[in-house]
Amino acid sequence: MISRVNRLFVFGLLFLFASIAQAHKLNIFTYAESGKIFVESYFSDGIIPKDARVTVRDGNKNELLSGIVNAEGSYTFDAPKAEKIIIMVDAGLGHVVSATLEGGEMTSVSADPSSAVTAGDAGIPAVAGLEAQIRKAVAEANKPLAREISQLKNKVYTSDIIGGLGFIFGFLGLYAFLKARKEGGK
Amino acid sequence: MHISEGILQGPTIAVGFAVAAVGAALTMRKMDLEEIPKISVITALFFVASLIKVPIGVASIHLILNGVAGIVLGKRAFVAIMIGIIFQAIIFGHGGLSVIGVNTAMMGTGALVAYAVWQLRHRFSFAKKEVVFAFIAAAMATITSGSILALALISTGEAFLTNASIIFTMHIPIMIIEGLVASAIVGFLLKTKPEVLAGYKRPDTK
Repeated sequence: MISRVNRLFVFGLLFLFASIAQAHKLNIFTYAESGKIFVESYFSDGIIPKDARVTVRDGNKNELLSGIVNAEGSYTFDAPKAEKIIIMVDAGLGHVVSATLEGGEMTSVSADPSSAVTAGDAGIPAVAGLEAQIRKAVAEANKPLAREISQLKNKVYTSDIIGGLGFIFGFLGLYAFLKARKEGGK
Repeated sequence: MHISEGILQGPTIAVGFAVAAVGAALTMRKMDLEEIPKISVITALFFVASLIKVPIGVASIHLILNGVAGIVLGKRAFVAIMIGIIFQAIIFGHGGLSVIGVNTAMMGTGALVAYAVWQLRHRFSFAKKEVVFAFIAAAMATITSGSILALALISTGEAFLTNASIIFTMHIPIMIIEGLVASAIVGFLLKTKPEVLAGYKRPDTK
């Protein structure tokens, strides 16, 4: 039914593109710092969504605020008072991703450095400032890492593709087998 | 092209599943055993097509190939696309499980439109008409799916209205690329194995 040359053509196409394959998925990365919430979004292939709309809702789905990401794909807003917020990034054409932040996550770095001082710190103000700075630096340093992890998570591996093709041929082959048996039994 | 999970509301998702189920049931009727190998090859092609990225300026789009499925499989393309979408959702996370119905309805209908356009070629006679009709069929498949995508997004409320309007402008390059790919595939198949194309009629003996 399908000639050898066509089969070669189809499989040639498959393998040619398997190497450059990567899902086009929108990712979101959020972190809190000094009473502000930072949202970054990017496609898994590293492309920054243009004019993506960010909508922030509270736990009851009431819209708190919304805006458009900047040229770097990030958006910043003051941490709202809500217990739980849902941040949704919509890059259009059905590319939507959302993240949920709850209580503690929104205040991971205190807005007021002195509040980070615990009793055991003997009230050395420099320590408080230092801690805030360290947290900021760590958050900053983790950004590319988090980006890379989500990129890896969404990466399409050749084994996935081959596996998927195997499932398709296997599934349809099984269907053909059952159908042939049923028709043969008549 | 895929609609992701968490955008659409219950009713739209339900309609999507209903359309996909009815569409699959209708287009699978009287399936011949010999058609299955062809369906599996096109399903496999459709399955990987979404990984093939075509860069356009700063953005990049991926191939859909639902038009090609319609041109080669005729109405059986609907089932091929449904299976392809199910595996894309499971393995690649494209779209999601709850939106399999909507995505199938969207791309499957595009494939059926492509088949209808493709069949119109029998009414014309000019050189290379197959290649021309392949282009038109694939372009029509893209715009049909794009319109359904726009409709599905509009059903979610006003926030998506602007979105839906840019879909048409976004789909113009996709239409052209899909059309060119379909033309190339049809041109190749005409030379090598024309009978695999849907609705093939043996040319009259001269």
